[in-house]
Amino acid sequence: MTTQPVTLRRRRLHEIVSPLTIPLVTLLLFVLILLLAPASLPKLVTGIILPGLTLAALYFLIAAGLSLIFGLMDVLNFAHGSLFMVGAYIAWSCNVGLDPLYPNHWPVTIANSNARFVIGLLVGTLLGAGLGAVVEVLLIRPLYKRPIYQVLLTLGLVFVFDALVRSVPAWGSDSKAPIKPSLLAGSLEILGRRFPTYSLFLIVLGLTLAVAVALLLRRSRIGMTIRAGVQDSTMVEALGINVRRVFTGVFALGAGLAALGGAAAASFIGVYPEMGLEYQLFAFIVVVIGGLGSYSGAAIGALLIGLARTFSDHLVLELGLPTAIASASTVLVMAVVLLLKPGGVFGAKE
Amino acid sequence: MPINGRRTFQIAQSGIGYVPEHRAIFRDLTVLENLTLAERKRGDLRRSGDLIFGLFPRLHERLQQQGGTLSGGEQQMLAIARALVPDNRLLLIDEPSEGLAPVIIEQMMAAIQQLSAYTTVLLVEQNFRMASAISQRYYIVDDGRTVHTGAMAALRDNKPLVQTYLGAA
Repeated sequence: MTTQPVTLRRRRLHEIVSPLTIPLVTLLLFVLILLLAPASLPKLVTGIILPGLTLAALYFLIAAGLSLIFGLMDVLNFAHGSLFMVGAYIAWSCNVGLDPLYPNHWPVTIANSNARFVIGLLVGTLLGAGLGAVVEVLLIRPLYKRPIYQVLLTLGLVFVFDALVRSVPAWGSDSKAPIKPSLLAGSLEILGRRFPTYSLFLIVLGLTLAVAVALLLRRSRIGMTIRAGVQDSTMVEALGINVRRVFTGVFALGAGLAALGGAAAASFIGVYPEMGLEYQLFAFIVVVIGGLGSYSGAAIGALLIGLARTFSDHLVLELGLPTAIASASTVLVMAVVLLLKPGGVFGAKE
Repeated sequence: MPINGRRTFQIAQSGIGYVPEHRAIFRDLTVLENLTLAERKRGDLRRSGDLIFGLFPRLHERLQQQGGTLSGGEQQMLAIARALVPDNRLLLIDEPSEGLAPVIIEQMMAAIQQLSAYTTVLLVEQNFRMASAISQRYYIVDDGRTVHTGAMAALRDNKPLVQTYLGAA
């Protein structure tokens, strides 16, 4: 039984200070990196911080659902990245399929690339959420009492989704280039440097959803039920609430968030079958750092890992170090966090 | 575990309030949220508020406080109050005296006695003196079976029976 909190509440002073240790240590690390490899302010903002926030937004969209699902149902959904990938493929398909200039376009087309983009986001999110609900009801529900089977099942689903995506003729195994809507295709000038508009869009999207889901958890009755269920789902059921329906809802919500992340990422990094696993790896690190089951933890973890990646990329480029060091940096951050606070930023005290 | 094909929440919805042994209040939810969550129909809390806060005025003072910051006695009050929010026909209260100071136990028992005017209470309690002071009927369960049942007044006078099963009179 989990007793981990969906840390969304007013805390007393000592409770506020202790979760700050990890962000502060990481911040110190970033300062150290800047001392080793100095960057001008415009470079710092547009070359390190904003790209870091862009990554953080994508990581957050996957990690939020992963963490909520684990918190509520004790299910570690290894197929969460697959939902991200499926969302990306669906959005990409909408972007090309509805394009009248694309050779194999669908019978219905829309001339406006921005409208195609929005449709792609919506359809990707909704189908992703629906797929999540189907997976929960048909496959995970019979296995709630058998955690090992759940791991095998969700790991297996990774291969199933991978094979399915590759077998769709329009998708195949090769990667597809990102298609940006005309409104977000350009770049903006920030502190005298160009910065892609689409990256800003991803940051705004991630931030908006982080706030929206926080409000849902904090202000609505369903959010209250989720927070209570994370602590003790048996007692929630004993109050007369159909907890399984809440489980399905949260699974769909988490899947929808991941699919939305994928749909938005499709116009940023393109689509390829391995993208799910690639981003899921970071989402898992984010969730572990933030504290399994903690929503606020997922948000903070995403920020830390997103920034850690761009800061270490900067360090590696400036000092001419091998790029493998940059890739290792996130794992390094995770190791440091787990040494300092084994439960993660907002994890249960253990 | 489903009983007779009915799942826990369906059984609860038939009008049964459950106050578990370890209280199981939601520690990260405020007192008000704990109570609101127990509503089965909109407005349940408004209807039962007078009864609940009449029995436990302390809870009314702490509506915005996190459940986890309440004292043991207050948590027990909240656990009982939560079962009173919907219009339950039966309350199952498991070991309400566990881990509480004697003064608090007295208060708790007084409250349970008062609320038994509104609904049926099934109390599981090892503290015989206390249980016998407030109940009308008794059931002695031994190894999963009811071995004796009757009016509590009769049990109080049946010293040998009490001695056999409860060890103390």
